Amino acid sequence: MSDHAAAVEITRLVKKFGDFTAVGGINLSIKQGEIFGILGPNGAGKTTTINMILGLLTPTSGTILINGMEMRRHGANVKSLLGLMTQETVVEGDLTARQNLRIFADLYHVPKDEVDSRIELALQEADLVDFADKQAGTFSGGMQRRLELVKSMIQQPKILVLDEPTTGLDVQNRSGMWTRIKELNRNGVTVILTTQYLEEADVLCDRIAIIDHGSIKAIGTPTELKRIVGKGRILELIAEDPAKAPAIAALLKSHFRLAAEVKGDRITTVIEENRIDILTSITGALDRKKLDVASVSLHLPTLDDVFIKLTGAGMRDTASNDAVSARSNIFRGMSGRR
Amino acid sequence: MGLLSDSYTLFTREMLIFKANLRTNIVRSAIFPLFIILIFGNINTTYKNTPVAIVNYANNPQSLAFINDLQINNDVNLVTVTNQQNALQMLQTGQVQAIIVILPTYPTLSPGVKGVQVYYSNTQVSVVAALLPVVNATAVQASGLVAPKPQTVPVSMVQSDAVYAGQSSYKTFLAAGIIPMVVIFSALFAGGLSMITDRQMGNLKAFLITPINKNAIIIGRVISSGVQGAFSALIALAIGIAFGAGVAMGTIGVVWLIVVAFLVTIGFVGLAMIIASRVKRVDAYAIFSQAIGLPLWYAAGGITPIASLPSWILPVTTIDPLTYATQITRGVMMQGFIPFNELVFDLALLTGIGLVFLFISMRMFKSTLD
Ligand SMILES: Nc1ncnc2c1ncn2[C@@H]1O[C@H](COP(=O)(O)OP(=O)(O)OP(=O)(O)O)[C@@H](O)[C@H]1O
Ligand SMILES: [Mg+2]
Repeated sequence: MSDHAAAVEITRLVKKFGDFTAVGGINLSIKQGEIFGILGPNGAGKTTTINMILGLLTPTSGTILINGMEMRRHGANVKSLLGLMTQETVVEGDLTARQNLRIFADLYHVPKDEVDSRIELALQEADLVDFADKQAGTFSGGMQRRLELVKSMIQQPKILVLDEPTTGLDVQNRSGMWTRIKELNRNGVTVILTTQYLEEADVLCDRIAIIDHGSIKAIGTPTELKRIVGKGRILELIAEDPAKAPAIAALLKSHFRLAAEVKGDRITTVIEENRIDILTSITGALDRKKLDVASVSLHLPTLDDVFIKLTGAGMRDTASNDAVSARSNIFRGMSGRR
Repeated sequence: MGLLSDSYTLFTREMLIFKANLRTNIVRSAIFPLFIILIFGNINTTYKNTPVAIVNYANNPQSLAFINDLQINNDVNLVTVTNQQNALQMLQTGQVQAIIVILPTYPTLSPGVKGVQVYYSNTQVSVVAALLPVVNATAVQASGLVAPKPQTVPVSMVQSDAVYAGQSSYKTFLAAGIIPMVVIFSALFAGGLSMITDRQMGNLKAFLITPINKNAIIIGRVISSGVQGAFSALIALAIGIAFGAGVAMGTIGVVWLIVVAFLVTIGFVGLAMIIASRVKRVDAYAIFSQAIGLPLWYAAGGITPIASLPSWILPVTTIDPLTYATQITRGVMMQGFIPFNELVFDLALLTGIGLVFLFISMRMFKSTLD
């Protein structure tokens, strides 16, 4: 039954919280063995979608099939197929790395005679062999994430769901995490990840769905999505005086027949591949009209550009999310037990 | 197999966390008994609110006038007029602190014959020392045998005796009352607060996506809280003993205390989880649990004998599970025995309440985050 079915088949999925529609009727088919990215800004509905895939939230309407099976009817079977690394780092800080792993091995009903060997393997994969019996709360953010990743793999799931796996990590830990995710995928695990980082989606994903306000804006491979922006290069100008930005856009239109978008002090447009040389004429024209620009940049389209094109905005408010992993443990002190 | 082994896994998790925070947990269990015993254990209670029982063997107009005067003058807190056996038992369980026995010889002025005998527990000397002159003066006046004025020779009608009443010191009384208190706070913390933080930290989510029976999450927590509650009770007991309290029943008594602590915790963890499923914020929950725990403790006679509680609180006392827990701890620590039928009733009641709360909390606990 399951070999030909999609890993995850989502049909007309809706989730409402009261009057508010967090997910507004999305269709998605995630293939076996791919790395699928769900990309969207804060509040787009990524976590809500993922929670429904995992059976943590009941859809208002629509269906989700995991390997052709419905969660409601095949609860325990489906659950053992799935693994999750949540957005919050939830390793138990008071417990050692080994204890953290053992609890989840037991909860996933890993056969008793395999538990020890799987824990050892997980510790090796996470580079935590030397820290196996130290409290996880003393680990760095990157170590906790690595532990979290192997913890969510202890039951050897077929489908691994990663909710913002690298939010809050530094550059080095982030690329380490990417390597691990790719490795898991190479071993046959279907990976579904959400991210706010375009670069991450670009590097990792076979296919990407861009969602905003609970609906899918575009879906495809990174290359396909970049094509939405057009071939050629993206020209980005930052106006010295934001008030003059519309004038700059008007000049691009009248003199060079370039359709430009204005967002605050930023003007973006696409220059066709064979017309790159007009850049000098553009700067010259701006200079003559006394339209000062603070910066000029020309680059290949990135998912960022796709995103701006589709959602009419850059990634919103990315920095605030970096605080998540630093979420303090004040409650532990209060309760005296954690 | 499934539910039990899953519950056991989650029990293990809770206990490992408890162990990792052992020092904090000991301090938390110790701080309250220390505080209460140091402050209240050393207060010099004035005779005015000393609960007393009266045994009237004389039963003549003068003795009734004497009782009447004691009440009217508000000199003592007259709990009851009863027979001697009852009165002694009340003295032993700390419900009263002295017994005034009006002997058949009252009123009399014959030398060597006293009309009134006061019994008090050997640890209430200072209170009774203040009480005796008042009782004497009232007894003399009510007898009508001595003209009120002018009084030349002081007349003594009262003889007093320290009754050996087991270990029934006020400190034992307090310690026995604090144990249930420490236990419910342990339950409200271990059960409810950890549920809220687990939800906030995402641990609950991690459990819910595993193929376990969701009730294992409740059961594992309930049992581990029971063990933690018993642990808190032992800490409170140790502090009580360090400050002079005793366990009249000895080692078996300690076992009973552990059983009671376990049962009380299980009941209140159920309640805690019911509250925690509604109150999603830690600070609000903390206020809630204080607002529930403290009145229940007070109503159960944790700090003053039930007999001296204001009458409007007595309905609460009756329905308060802690009342029955306290009855057992007092029996164990002060009297050294618990009447069998009382024990059965108390234990059945605590178990029953625990099961009801547990059942409701399981029904209210959802396996999704909706
Ligand atoms: N339990 C809930 N009740 C009400 N509204 C909710 C609930 N959960 C999520 N929402 C709302 O639904 C929207 C989508 O939330 P969701 O958590 O899915 O976003 P997200 O894409 O994961 O964002 P982020 O990048 O911040 O994690 C948000 O506006 C959020 O406020
Ligand atoms: Mg999210």
